[in-house]
Amino acid sequence: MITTNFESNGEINVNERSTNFSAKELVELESYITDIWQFLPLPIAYLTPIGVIVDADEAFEKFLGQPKDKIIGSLLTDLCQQHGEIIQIQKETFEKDQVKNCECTLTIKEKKEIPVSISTLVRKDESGEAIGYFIAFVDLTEQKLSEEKYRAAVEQSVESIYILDYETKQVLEANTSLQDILGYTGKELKQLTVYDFVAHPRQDIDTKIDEVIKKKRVHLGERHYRRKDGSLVDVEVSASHITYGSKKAISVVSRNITERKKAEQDIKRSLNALEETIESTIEAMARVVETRDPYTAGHQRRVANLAYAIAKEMNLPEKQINGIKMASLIHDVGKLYVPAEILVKPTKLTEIEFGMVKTHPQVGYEILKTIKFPWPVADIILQHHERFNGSGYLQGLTNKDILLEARILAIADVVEAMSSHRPYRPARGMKATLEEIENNKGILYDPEIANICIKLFKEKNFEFDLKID
Amino acid sequence: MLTKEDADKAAKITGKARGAVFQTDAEYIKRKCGPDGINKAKALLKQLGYPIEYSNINALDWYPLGLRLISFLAFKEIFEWQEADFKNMGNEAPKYSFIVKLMMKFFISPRIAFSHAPDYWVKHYSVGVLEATEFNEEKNYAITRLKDFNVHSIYCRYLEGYFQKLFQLMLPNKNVKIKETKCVFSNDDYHEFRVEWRN
Repeated sequence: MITTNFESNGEINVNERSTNFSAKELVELESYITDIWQFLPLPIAYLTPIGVIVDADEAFEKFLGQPKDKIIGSLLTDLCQQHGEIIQIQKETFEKDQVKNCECTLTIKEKKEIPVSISTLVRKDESGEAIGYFIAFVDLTEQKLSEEKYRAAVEQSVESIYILDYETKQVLEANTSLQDILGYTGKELKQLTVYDFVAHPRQDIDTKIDEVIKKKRVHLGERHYRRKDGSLVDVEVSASHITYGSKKAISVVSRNITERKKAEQDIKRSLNALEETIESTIEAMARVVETRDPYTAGHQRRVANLAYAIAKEMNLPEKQINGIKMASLIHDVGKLYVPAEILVKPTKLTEIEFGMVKTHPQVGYEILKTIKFPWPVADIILQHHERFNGSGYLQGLTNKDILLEARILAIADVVEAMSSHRPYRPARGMKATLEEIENNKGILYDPEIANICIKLFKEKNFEFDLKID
Repeated sequence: MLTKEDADKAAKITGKARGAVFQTDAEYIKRKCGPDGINKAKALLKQLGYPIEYSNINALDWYPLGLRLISFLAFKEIFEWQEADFKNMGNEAPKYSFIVKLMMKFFISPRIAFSHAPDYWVKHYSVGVLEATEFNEEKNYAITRLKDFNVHSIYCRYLEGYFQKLFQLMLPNKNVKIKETKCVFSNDDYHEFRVEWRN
């Protein structure tokens, strides 16, 4: 260990050996040490064991608001009012060799209160005897102000915000909003773990917490909390991994969505009621059509029955299935404008008469296009006589240019019509009907839909029923 | 008035002093008299043929003791200092001395520090012997003797202030007083300083 017993010629004795440092080197050492003191950005001082300041940097002068010549030679306890705290820190310094980040508030120059973090480090001589210590201050004023602002924001937030200890899962902090939601006081909450109020299996909670740790930030979505009275509350939760002091922690933000969920359910009920109304209206329209043409009484419903079954077999989205069903129920509404005599004529129609019948998709489209259905009902009806190879009417659309719903309706319409009596011909029977579909799939009819239709009859024993699921 | 002859005579004094003591002088002059004060001192020293560039002084280098005395005489001339002013300068010096900071390990207690007084002296001066003559903790006084150090009476005042501050650093809650009880310039064989402290 280098001693400071340097001789007058500048030698430093190291143990029994003599190491010659030149005067220049000693000067450089002095310059180095001086520069360090001048450079230090934190208020730092060096004190004797009894607390007399013997050296301090410029930042220390500014911190205390006193010139260096007033500081050097003074006791630190003479420069601030917190004698007890300083003496305690000094005592701990010599017991533990250092103190790290001890927070307290210093009153300086009789007025100014400064929140500070104090760290110290003892210096010892070669025999291990403490010969002095460094003390450094970090002014926490700005940090505390920021903390206050954030604390106010968190405390007054409408969202529930709380912090969990990752290891123990205990609540470390919780704002007023969470207390209000769960019905616990702040003190009670801090005695709880997350398992006490999150109404999910423990393993699920642990998995979610680990996910947060891994991904740093996770939106956990809709969850349930259990109130103090045992009732449940719906919440939407996001969480992030934070450090709380030295602890690994989770910060959780929750929003009470109970009211929103209730509103959603109300809307859903309203929508359901609205859909029922629409369905009833459509059914009423279907009956209007059928009263004019007794041969097609029940036709639309049976077509809807089959089209619905095909759509379900294809695993289409529920909304699309409903659209197919609704469009099928009134696909012949355009026939309202076809004279009843033509509809029930027992012989073959003339070209003019057939031309009038062929207008019914367009007429149906015109009737329905202004009604804001949640499905493309008007377009489905307009296209339900289009054929896969473009030989249909009215637009001569082909293949996938025809709406899927219309392609399904087309097959269902043909199957029902061919297998039913008409005034101008008898029913062809299901076997012949399915042969017609089989023979013309890919030509007149979408092959995939045709196969499903055939399968429904042959493998799943589909039967026409006036009742639709 | 300080003449060239006075300066030449002072320059003949044997012995060396560490740069640290020159540095503390400059620090004191700057604080007390401003940058203008130190410039005036430098100008006079240059005029006398003994220039000192204080910014180039290194704390651990040796410099002629006579040069130190010349600078003291220059301060006396320019600032019209009395003996008390030199005592004040000595009193402030330990606060800024690099060597004092290096020696802080001895400042654990007054007794230990006092016992290292001779060691402390040789770090600063190549002439003279400082003795830790007596330390009486019960009666709160200490006596130190400086032998073979014949510089100038104003240097004695400087040393009075210096020793007083060193004791003050070790006894911050005490009222420390010092008096030179023997002086070679009073025909004594050595300098003797008695330090007393009270609550």
